[in-house]
Amino acid sequence: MLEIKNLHARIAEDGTEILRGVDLTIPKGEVHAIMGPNGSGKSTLSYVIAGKEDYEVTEGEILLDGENILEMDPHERANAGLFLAFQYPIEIPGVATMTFLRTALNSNRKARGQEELSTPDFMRVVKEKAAELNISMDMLKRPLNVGFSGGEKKRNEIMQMALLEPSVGVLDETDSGLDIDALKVVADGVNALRGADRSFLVITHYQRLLNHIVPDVVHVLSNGRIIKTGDKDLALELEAKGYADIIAEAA
Amino acid sequence: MNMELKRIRTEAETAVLEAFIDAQETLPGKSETLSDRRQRMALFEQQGLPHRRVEEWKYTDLRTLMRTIAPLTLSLGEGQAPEVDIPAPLLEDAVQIVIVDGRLVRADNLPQGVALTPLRDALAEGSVSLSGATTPDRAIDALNAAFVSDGAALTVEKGATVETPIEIVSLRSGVEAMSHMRVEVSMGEGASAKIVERHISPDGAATQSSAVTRYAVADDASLDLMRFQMEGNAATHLGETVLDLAGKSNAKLLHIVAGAKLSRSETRVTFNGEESRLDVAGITMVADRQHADLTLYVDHLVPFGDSTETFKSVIDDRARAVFQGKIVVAQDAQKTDAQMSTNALLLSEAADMIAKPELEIFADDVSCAHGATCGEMDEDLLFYLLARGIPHNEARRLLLQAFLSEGAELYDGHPFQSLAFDAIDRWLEEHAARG
Repeated sequence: MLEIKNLHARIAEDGTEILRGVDLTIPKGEVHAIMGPNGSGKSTLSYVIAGKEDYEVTEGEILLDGENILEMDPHERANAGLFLAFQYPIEIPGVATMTFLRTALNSNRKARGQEELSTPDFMRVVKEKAAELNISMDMLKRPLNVGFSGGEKKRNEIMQMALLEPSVGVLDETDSGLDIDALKVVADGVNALRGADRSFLVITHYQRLLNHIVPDVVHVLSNGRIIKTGDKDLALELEAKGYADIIAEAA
Repeated sequence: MNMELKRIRTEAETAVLEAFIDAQETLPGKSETLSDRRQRMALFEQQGLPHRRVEEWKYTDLRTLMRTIAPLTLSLGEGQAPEVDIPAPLLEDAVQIVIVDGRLVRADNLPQGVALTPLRDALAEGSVSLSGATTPDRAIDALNAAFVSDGAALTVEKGATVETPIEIVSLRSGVEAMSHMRVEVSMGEGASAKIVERHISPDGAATQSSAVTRYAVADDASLDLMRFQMEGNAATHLGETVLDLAGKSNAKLLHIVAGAKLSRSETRVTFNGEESRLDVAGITMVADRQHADLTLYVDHLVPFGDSTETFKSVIDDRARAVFQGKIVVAQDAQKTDAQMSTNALLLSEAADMIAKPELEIFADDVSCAHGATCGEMDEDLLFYLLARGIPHNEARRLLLQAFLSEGAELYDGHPFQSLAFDAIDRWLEEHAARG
C-alpha cells in the first residue's frame, strides 16, 4: 500500500517547485494510473518516491505499507518493498546483467533477513522469470542493458520486478519506446504480478497502455497536483478530448 | 652583463654524485661499461634530478619530490643478503626470477628455450651495454645505468613457445636504501612468452628503487607482459619498460599501478618492423597521498603498425595520478592505426588527475585518435543500482570494478585477466568499500 500525503518537492539544484501538494492512496491489490501533460511532474513523482537525490521534499510524507520512507536511502526503500521501473533504464558497461541481478536479489533477501540464494537456485529463478518475458539467456550474458533495444530494456525492468517481488511497483512511462508487440509482453508481465498484496502506480502519457494494464483508478496530474480522479473511463475521455478541458475545468 | 648561473644542487643530487664517486670502481663491467656509466652520470651532474621545467617531468618534479637519497645498496655480494620472505608466484604454474634489493638471488628452473645470465656476469663479460640516450627525459634510464650492478639477461630461443609464465619478482628487503635492477630480455624470431613483473616492498619502509626492463621482440615473436607496481606505502619507485618491436611481432603490456608513495612508470615502445601490433593498458588505483605517474611513449617508425593504448585510473583521498601518453607517427609510418584513451574517476574532492595525451603525426594516411575523460562517479548509474536495493558501498564497488576491468580487456580470457581482476578486487576491498 502506498500513501502520499500533501507531497511538495522541488529540484534541489535550483529550487524549482515541481510537486505542489500531491495526495494519493493506492490500497493493496489496486492499480492506479497517473496521466498528465508534459511537465506536469509525473516523472518527478516517481523519482521522489524512489528517493533520487536531485529532488528535495519540502512538505508532506510518503508511506509504504504504513511506514514513512522519506528518511530512507533509495536502497532501503527498495528493500522495504518499493520498485521503480525506469522510463530510461541505464546502460552499465562492465557490470554483467547476471551479477547485477544476483547482487540486487541478495541485497534484498539480506535486508529481509533471508539467506542468500545458492547459485543453482538463483539460476533457476532467473531462467523462469526470464522465459516469461521472452528474455534470452544470451541477453542476460551481456553487460546490463548494453546494446539492448528499447523493448528489451523495458522487459528487463519488468523481469527485475518479478525477481524482487515488491509490495509497490511504480512504472514510469513503461510504454514509451515500445511497439505494440513489446507493449503486450510488458503488460502481460505486469498483469502476472498483480495480486491482492501488491499495488501499482502506472505513469503514462497515453491511454494505450491502460488497455493492457487495466487500472482501478485514474488520476490526472497537472502542474504538480492531482486535479481529477476517476475510473478507467477517465483515460478514454482524456484520449478523446485531450488535457485542456480538464485543466481548464480544474482551474 | 654576463652572469654565470650556477645551479645549486639539492641534498639528494649531491648524495647521488657522491655515491657514484664511491661506487664506480666497484661496479661490475669492463672499462667500456664504466665509461658508459660515467657518461650517464656526467649528464646527471649537469642536469640533476628532472624537475618541472623539463617538459616530460612537469607533473612529477623529482627534484622537489625526492628531497633525500637513501644510501646505495651495493649488491655485490659482500655483506649479508638480507632475510626476506619471497611471495609465492601469482600464477601457480609460474617460475620465478627473484631480485632482492637489486641483486639476483634466485632463479627457478627455467622452461625449455629460456636461458638466464645474471646481469652482473653479463656486465662483466660486456655482453650487455649500458650506453643510452643522454637527454634529460631519460633520467630513470641514466640513473639506473650509472649504478646498476645486477639483474638478469634472459633469452628466449628462436621459435620457442614458452607456455610456463615467467615471474620476475623485484623485491625490497625493507632496508631504507636505494637499489637498482635491470633485466634485458631478448626474444628470438617467432618465440612467444608470458612474463609478469612484480615490483614490491614492505609498507612503512622508505626504500628507493629504479627498475629498467628491456624487451627486444624479434620478427614474428609474441610477448604477453604484465607489470605490477605494488610497492609499499613509503617507497619511491622509478620504472622504465622498453619494448622494441621487430616486424610482424605482437606485444601486450598491462600495468597495474597501486603501490608506492611516489612512482613514475615509463613505457617506451618503438615499432621498428612493419605489421606489428601493440596493446598497452594501465590500471591505476591510488589513495591517501600517493603520487603515481604512468608515462608512455609509442614511436611508430614504420608502416602498417597497429597500437591501442587504454588507461583507467581511480584516485581517492588526496592522491594524484598522472598519465602522459605520446604517440609519434613518423613520416614513413603510413597506415598506422593508433587508438589511445585515458579515463579517470575521482573519488574525493581533493583527488587529482593530470592527463596529457599527445599525438604527433608526420604521415598522411593513418588512423589515430585519442580521448581523455576525467570525472566523478556517475550519479545516475549509482541511483539505478541503489533503486534495486544494492547498498551504497556495494554499488560503488560494482561500478568501480566495471570501470577498471575494462583496462584488462586486452587480456580477455587470458590468465593475466584474472590477475588484474584480483588486484582490482583487493584494492576495492581496502579502499572503495569504505566510502
